Amino acid sequence: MIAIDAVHDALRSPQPWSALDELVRTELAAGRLTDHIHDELAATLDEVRAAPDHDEDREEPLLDTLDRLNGFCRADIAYQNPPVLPTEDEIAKLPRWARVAFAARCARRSLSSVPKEFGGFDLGLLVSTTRAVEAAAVSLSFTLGEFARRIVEVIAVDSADLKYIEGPTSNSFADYRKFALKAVVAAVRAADSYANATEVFTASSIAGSDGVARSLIRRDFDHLARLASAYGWTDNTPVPPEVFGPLWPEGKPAGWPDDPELPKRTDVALEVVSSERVSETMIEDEVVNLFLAMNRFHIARTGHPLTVEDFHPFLAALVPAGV
Amino acid sequence: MVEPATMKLEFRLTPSAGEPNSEVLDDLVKLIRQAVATAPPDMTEIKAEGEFRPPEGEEEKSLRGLESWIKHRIEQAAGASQKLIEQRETTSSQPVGIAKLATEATRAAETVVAAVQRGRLRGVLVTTSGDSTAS
Repeated sequence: MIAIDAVHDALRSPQPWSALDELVRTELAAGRLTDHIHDELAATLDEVRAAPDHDEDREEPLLDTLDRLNGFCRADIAYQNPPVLPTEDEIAKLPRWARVAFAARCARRSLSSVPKEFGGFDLGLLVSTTRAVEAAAVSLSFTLGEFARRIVEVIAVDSADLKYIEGPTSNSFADYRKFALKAVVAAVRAADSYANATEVFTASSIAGSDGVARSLIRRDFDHLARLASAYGWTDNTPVPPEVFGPLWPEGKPAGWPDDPELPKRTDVALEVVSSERVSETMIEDEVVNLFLAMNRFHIARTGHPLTVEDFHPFLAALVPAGV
Repeated sequence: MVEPATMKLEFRLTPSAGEPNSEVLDDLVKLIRQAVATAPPDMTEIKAEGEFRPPEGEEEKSLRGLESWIKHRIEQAAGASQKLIEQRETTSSQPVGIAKLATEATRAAETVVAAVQRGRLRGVLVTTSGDSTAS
């Protein structure tokens, strides 16, 4: 809990932005979420304004800090939540199919840790089952029957797994097979239970049984929650898996297995289309801007730049010649 | 609101050095798709449903000019690329280099999404062509 006196002291200090930053970081280090800190600080605004020595300039650092907590600022200065898993209450606030999409993402993260050559283990079946849960979040419907049957077939390979899945969450990464089964079963149950928050929480707990994964799951969740809030998603909004982006934009951890579904790519083929109102200069600006961004990412990950090849322009067939 | 597309550019981005890294290239594809999937719903839609044809005569001359300008500006940016490469080398040799590189890659990923969405806002739609995969 942030005391009002601490806020007053920070705002009266010679470096109010730094002082408030220190206050916020102390709270984050204690495992508190940005939303909660934001609400507490926002609640002090009236008292700050009522102070006898108040002037508008003095509240600027507080308003800036609130923006950083809300994400209404440059991405690189926004406060990030600590690496704690989302609670059931937080999950319950997501719209229905966002909860399903989140459960599927958690299963994806769990599956990404499984070496594809893991003996006696049908990883493909679990991947396709996860894909079915992802598809459910787009089509807004999920039929348990077929997938339940498939999973039961997998579980039947070793009856001990069934007991394991029904038991408490394991924190061990050692048994990949059981771990992946549990994660996918949790995602299927989430999709089949009208996205019950408890089932979704189970999916995230399994995937987040490791410290690194926990911070990434929190990032996935915060990203989804921001989109749902900003765009007013409802229980009928489809949520495709693409909204999450790559599993590891920063590069996967050392020793992590290769993605069995990874296509072999030698390039990125792009199509850029523009409408009539867009001038050639604007197109030029946007293509160059896009190239610079993609090039920066490629250098950050590989140390090598990109180059443009096979440039082909086309015009809409209905546009009269000479235009 | 829907606007019909009047022009289309197709091109490929390839690594100019080193072996192509499928994982990184696939992440770039996923970032483009993420940008499209998370674009604000009230943005103007640009439809590219009709057929497109290669430019002819004066059209071709004009569009070749556009291509030249784009390539020229990208070549001009080579110096900035070199600086990024050198910064990366310096960072990777530091004790906390791996964490810093991860942060830089995450920020760069956000920049890709922002670049695609900025284009969309200005009437330029960027998509990936699924047939860039090879087995």
